[in-house]
Amino acid sequence: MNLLDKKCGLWAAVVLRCRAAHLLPAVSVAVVGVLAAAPAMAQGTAVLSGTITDAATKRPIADAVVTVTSPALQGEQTVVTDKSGSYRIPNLPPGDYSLRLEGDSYKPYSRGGITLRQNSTIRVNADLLPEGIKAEEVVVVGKAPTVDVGSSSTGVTLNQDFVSRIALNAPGGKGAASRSFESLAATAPGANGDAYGVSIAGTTSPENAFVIDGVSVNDPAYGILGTPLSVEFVKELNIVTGGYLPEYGKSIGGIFDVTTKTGSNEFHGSAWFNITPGVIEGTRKLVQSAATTITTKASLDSLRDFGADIGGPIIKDRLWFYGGVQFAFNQQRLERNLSQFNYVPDPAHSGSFVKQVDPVTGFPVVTHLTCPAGLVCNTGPNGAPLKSGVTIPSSPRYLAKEESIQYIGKLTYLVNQDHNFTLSFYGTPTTSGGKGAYGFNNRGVPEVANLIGSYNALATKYFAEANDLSLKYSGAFNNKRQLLDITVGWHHQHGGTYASDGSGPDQIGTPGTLANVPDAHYRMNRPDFHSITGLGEQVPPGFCGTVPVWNEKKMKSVDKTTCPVNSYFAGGPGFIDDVLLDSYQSRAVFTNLFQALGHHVVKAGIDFSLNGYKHDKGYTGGVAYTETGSGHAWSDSRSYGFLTGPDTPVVGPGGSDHLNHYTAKTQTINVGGFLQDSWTIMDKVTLNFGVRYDAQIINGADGTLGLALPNQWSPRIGVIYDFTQQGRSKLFANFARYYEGVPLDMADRSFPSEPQSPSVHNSKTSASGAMGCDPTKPADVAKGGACTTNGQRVPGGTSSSPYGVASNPSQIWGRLGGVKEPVDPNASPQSSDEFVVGGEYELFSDARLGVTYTHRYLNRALEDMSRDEANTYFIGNPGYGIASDFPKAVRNYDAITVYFDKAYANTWLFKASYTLSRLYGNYAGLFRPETLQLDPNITSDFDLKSLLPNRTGLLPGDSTHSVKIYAAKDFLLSGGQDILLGLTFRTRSGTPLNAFGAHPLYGQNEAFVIPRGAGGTLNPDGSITPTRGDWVHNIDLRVGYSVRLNKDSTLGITADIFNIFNFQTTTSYDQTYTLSNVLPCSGGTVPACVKHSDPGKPVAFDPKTEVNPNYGKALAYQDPRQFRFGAKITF
Amino acid sequence: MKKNILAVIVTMGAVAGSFMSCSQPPTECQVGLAGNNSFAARYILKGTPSAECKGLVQLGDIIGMEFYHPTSKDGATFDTSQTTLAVQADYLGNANSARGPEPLGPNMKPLHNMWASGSFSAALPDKNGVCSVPTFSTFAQQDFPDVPAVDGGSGDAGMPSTPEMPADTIKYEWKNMQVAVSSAVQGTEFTADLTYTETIAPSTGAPVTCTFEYKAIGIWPAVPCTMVDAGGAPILDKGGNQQPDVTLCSPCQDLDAGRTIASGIGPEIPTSCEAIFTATDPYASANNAERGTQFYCVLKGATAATTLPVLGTAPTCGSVIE
Repeated sequence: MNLLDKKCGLWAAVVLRCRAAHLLPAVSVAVVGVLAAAPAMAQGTAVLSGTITDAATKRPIADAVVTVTSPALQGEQTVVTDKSGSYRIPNLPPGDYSLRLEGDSYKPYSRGGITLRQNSTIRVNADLLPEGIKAEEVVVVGKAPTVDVGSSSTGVTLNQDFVSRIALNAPGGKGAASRSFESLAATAPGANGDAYGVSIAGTTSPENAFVIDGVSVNDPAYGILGTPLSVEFVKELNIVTGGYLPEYGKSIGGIFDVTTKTGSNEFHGSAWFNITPGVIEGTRKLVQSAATTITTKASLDSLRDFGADIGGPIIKDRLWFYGGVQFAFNQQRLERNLSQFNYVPDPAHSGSFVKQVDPVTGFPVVTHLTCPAGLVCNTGPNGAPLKSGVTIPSSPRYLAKEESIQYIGKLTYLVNQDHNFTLSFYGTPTTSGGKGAYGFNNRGVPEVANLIGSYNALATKYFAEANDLSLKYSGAFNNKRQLLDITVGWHHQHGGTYASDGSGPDQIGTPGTLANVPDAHYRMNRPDFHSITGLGEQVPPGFCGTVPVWNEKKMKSVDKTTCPVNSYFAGGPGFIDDVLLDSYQSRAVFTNLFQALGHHVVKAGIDFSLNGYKHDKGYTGGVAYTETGSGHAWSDSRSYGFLTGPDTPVVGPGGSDHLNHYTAKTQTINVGGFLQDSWTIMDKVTLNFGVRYDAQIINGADGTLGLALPNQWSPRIGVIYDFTQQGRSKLFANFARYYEGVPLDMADRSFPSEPQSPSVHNSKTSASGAMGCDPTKPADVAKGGACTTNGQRVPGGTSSSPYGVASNPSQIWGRLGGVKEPVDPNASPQSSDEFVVGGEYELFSDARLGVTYTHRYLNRALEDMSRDEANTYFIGNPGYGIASDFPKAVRNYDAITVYFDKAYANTWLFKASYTLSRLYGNYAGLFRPETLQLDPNITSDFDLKSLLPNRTGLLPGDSTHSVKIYAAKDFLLSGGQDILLGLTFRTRSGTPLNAFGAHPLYGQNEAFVIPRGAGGTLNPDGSITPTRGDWVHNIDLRVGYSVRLNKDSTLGITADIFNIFNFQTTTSYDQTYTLSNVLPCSGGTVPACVKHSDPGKPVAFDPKTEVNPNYGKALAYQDPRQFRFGAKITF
Repeated sequence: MKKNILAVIVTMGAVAGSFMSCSQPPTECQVGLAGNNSFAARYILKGTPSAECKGLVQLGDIIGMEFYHPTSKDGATFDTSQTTLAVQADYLGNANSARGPEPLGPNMKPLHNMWASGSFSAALPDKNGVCSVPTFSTFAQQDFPDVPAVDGGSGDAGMPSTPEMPADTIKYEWKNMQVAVSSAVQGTEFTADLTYTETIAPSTGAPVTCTFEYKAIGIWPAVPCTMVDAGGAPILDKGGNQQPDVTLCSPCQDLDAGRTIASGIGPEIPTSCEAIFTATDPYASANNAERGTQFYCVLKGATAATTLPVLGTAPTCGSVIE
C-alpha cells in the first residue's frame, strides 16, 4: 500500500532497479504513454489511461477499481475498468501521480512516479496477479516513461521546478517588472524574443495564441499578449511550437497555454520580494552616433516586485480557493544632455567656420553645455532647475515609471468526482508615466528615446488594465468514457494613452487640461534649424550663439546656430486615446473514448468569440500642428474631422471645425469547430487526424461588414510510432495547416480609415507677420484665433499635385480618409502549412533526447496594397486575385532541432537544445521588424510595387545557429538547508543585415538598396562587405539558498546575475545606407549600382556625401550585467 | 451518445454553413480625390460648333472631384448612407486665378460656385460596379468682370503690360455622371454629360455665347505624357510641337528609362496618350505653366458611347519585382 512520496520520487529510478527483482517476479508491467490529446485549453488537462489485464491469462479485467492520488489533486479520482479492461481518468491537473489498482480476487497493485504534464496523456498498462499466486501486494517504485508517444506537437512545458531554479525574466523589455510568463517561451527551441514578445518557428509574436485557464488573453486589437500574468501565479506553462491538433484552437504562431495555481486540501502560500537595482549594473557601452544638440541616455533605475499568494480548502474535499497579488515597479533613468557643435575656421573661406569633425568616427565634435557655478540653470520649459552652483554635467535626470498590480483568484468546486467547476479571475492593471515621469510603450521601453521637447509635449500617461474571467465545467460520464468540457470566458482590456496630467480624449476641449493643448512640432530646416535657445531652453551664458558658415549657393557666409534641432515638440502630447477591448468567449469540447481496432479518442468541439474594440482617439487641442520646412506655415499634421461639402468642415463641439475626438467601434466574430480522432493501434502506432473549420467576420466602425474570412479548413494529420513499444521512444510526422485570426486594428484603421480634414496656416514668420498662427499661443488656437480662421489658411496648401489647386473643389481644406478600405472579392485569410518530423528517445528516467525537423511556409498573406503608387489601396492577398501582379508573400522556415531534456528529479535538471534554422522570404509577419510598425495585416510590407524589389532574402528573425542550455542543481545540506545553482547559457548567431535607402513616396528606410540580407559592414569607398551581425551570448546565473523554518515553511533567497560577463555585443545595427531617395539596385554592387529615384531627376549618386557614415555600426548593445535579489517564504 | 455526436456535428455544420456564403463587402461609392490628384478627361463634342465658337472647343480638361458624407445624427461622425459629389474643372479654376487672388478669392464668389454638386443615387455601386449621379443639384458658374489692359509704361521703372481680359461667364452643367467603383478601380474612371456655356464680353464689340454638349470621359490620376528629356524639358518634333509618350502612362516602373515610380494609373485601366488642351486655351499658360502641357494619359479608345467600367488586362511588369 505504499504509495510513493516525494522523497522516494527523487530516487525512484534507483529503487526501481533495486526492488523490482524482489517484488515482480511474475508480473510484467507495461507502461506506455499514449497520445490522446487532452482538452488543451483547460485547467486540469492531463489524462491517465491504460488497460488492466490478468497476469496469468492475459485477459482484460473488467470492473477493476482504479484510483489516482496526487498532491496536485483535490481528493482522489476513481474509475472502474470496462469490459476491455481499459480505464481513463481525464481532467487531471499536471503533477506527480500515484496509481492504485484493485480487482476482485486480484492482489492490489500500486505504483507512483507518474508525471503528468499539461495537455499530455500518459498510458499506464498493468497486469494484476490473481489471489492464488503467493505474493505480497505489488508495489512498483519507479518513474513512468515521459515520452508522450501519442503526440507529434513540439515545444516545451515549464513548471515551477524549472521556473524556481533558473534565472528567467531578464530585466529590460516587456513584462520585466511583473515577470510575465511570456518571456519564458524563449526557452523553447526555435523561439526567439522579438520587439513585441516571443517569435515561434519563424512567425512574429502577435501571431501566437495566449491562453490562461482556457481563456484567450490575446490583445484583440493587435494580437500581442493582453494579460502579462506573473510567473508566480503560474503552475505550468505549455509552449506548443508546432505540430498541434485542431483542439488547440486557431493560431498561426505558437500556443502559450497557461495553467494557474490551484488550492488544495492543505493551506499553502508564499510571499516574495525581488529587486533589481540599477546602481550596480555593469558598464554600458556607449553607442557612438552622429551628435545632436539634445541627447538622452536611458538606464535602469530599479525593478521591484513583491507579492503573496495563498491557497487552501473552503470546504474540505469539495471547494478550494487560490488567491494572490503582486505589486511591481519599473523605473528607468533618462539622463538628458545639451551640447553645442564645435566650429573651426574654414580653411577654404576666410572668416567662415566649419563643423569640427572627429577624424576617427567621422562624426561632428560637440561640447556639453555645463552650468557654471553660481548660476541657476534649467534645461527646459518644464525641466527641474539645477541647484545653484552645480557645475557638470548639466544633465537633469528624469524617470520613466511603471506600476503594475497583478491579482488572481480561483475557486474550484468538486460536485462529485465526475463533475467540477472552476472559476478564475485575474488581471494585470498597469500604469506608467504622468506626475513628472515618462511612460513605457507597448514594447516595454520608455516612450521617448530622446527628450526633444517639453515634458508636457513628450510625456503621456499610459494605462493598461487587463481583467479576465473564466468559468469552466468539466464533466465525465459513463465511467469517464465520455467527457464534456465547457468554458466561458471574458477578456477585458481598458487602456489608453492620456496626457501626462491624466486628461483623456474626452477632455479635449476642456479648458485647463493638457488634453486641450495642441501639440506643436517644430521642423524648420531652412535657411537654418531652430536653436534650442529660441525654443525656450535655457543655456549657460556664452553658448548656443551663431557662427558664419559659407553657403555655396549664395556665395557668401550665413550665420548658423551652434545648437540646432531639426525636431522639437512643444505644447501638449498630440495623440491620446482610450481603448476598450472585450472578448466574450465560449467553447465546448465533447470527448468520446471507445475501442474499434484500437483505442480511439474522438473529440468534437465548437468555439465562439465575439471581440469588440472601442477606440476613442484624438489629438490634444483637437489639432496637432507641424511646422513646414521654411517655418512660414504650420500644417495640421493630424486632426480628426471631415468635410460635408467643398471647404465645409464639420461643425464640431463648441463650433470648432473638427471633431475633438473620434470613436471607432469595431467588432469581429470568430466561429470555429473541429473534429479529431486519436487512434492508437496495438499500442505501437497512433494516428492523429482532424480538421478545424473557422470563420471570421469583421465589422467596421460604420456598423457594416468590413471583411469576411469564411471557409478556413485546417486539416491536421500525424502519425507516431513507438519502436521500443515501451513508451520510451517515438518517431513521428505531422502535417498541419494554420489560419490567422485577424486582430481588430485593421478594422479600427481601415473600416473606415480615420477621417481627417487638415489645413495649413500662415505662421508669424510669413507675410502675415503677427497676424499669423503660433500654435503654442492659447489665443491663436482658440476659436477665432490666428490658427483657426480661414483668413490665415493657405489656399491650395494641402495639395500635393500641381493640378489639384485649380481643379480642387476644396481650396483650403484637405479631405483625407473616412473611406472603408476596399477588399478584393477573392481575398482569403492568411494561412501557413507545416510539416514536422522527428524522433525522441528516453535515455534514462526523466531524460529524453530528441530531434525534430520543421518546415513551415506561408500559403497566403493578407495585406493592404496599392497597385497605383499609393493612389488607392485595397486589402487582398499579394500574388492572388486583383493583386496577382504582386509577388506572393513568402516566409519559409526550416529548422532542425536536437534537444535533451532532463526534467527536475534527483535534485537536478538539464535542458539543452541546438537549432539550425533558416527563415527566408519577403514577409516577416504581423509587424515590420525593420520599422517596428505593429499593424497586423496592414503593414507597409506590400504597400507599393515600387517598394518590393530586393525584398526577398533572409528575414530579420533568421538565426542560423541557436544554442540554449539550462541547468540547475540543488545541494541538500543538513537542517533542511538547500543551496541552488542554476545556469543559463544562450547563444545565437547574428542577424542578417540590410542596406536601406529612402523611397520617394514612403520615406526613409523603405527601399532595399541591395537584396534583403546582403548588408554588412561599410568600406571607405561606400561599398559593403556582406556579413551578418555578431553572435550574441548570454550567460545568466541563479544562486539560491533556502532553509526549512519548520515542518511546513521554507525561506529562500536568490541572487540572479544576468549577463555575468557583461557582454556588450551589438544587438541593433544602423542599416540606413543612405537618406537619399534611391532605386533598389537590380544587380551590381554598391555604391556603383545606386541611382537616385527622384522622379524625373536622374542624378548620379555621390557615395562621398550620401552614404551614411554610421552604416553597419551599433545602435544598441546588450543589456549590461544586472543583479536581481529575491526572497521568498513558503508555507 | 452517437446522437450527441451527431447533434454536435450538425450544429457545427449549421454554424459553419451560415458563414460559407459570406462574400466581401462592396466598395463604397467614391471618386479619386482632388486633394491627391484630379482626373484627366477627354471631351467628346456632340454636334458641330458655329464658326465663332470653334475657338472655344476644348479637347478635354483636368477635372477635380471630391465626395462627402453628411454629419451623423449624433454629430460624432459621418453618415455613409449618403454621398454627395463635387466637380470642378481646371479651366474654370485657371480662369479664376488668372484674374488674381483678390478680391475674387477662391470659392468666395457671391453668387456662384466654382464647383457643381450632386448626390450619388446610392451609397454602393450597382451590379455593374457603377455609381451614378444622374442629376446635379448645383452647377458651376463664374461671372468674371472685364479686366482692362494695363500699359506698364516704359523704362526700367515700368511694370509689365497685360492685355485686356474680357468679361467672361463660364458655366458647367453636369449630368449623368457615372463612376466605376470596385476594389480594383476605386472611383478612378468616370463618364458624364457636360453642357458647357461660355459668354465672352469684351469691352468693345458684341458678346459671344457658345454652348457645347460634351461627353466627358476621365481617368484618375491625371498623368502628363508629353515626351520630355532627362531634365524634364519637352522634346519637340520637327514642327516644333510637343509629342506624346505613351510609356509614361504605364503602370509599370521602368528603371532603365528613369521611371522610378510607375504612372500611378490603375493597371487595368487601358490608356492612350492624347492632347487634352488646345493651343488656343485662353488660360493655357499665362498663370499656370502646367496648363501648357499638352498630353495626358486618358482612357484608351473612349467614345461617346463608352460605358463603364472599362477594364483591360493588367500588364506584367517584368523584372522590377523580385
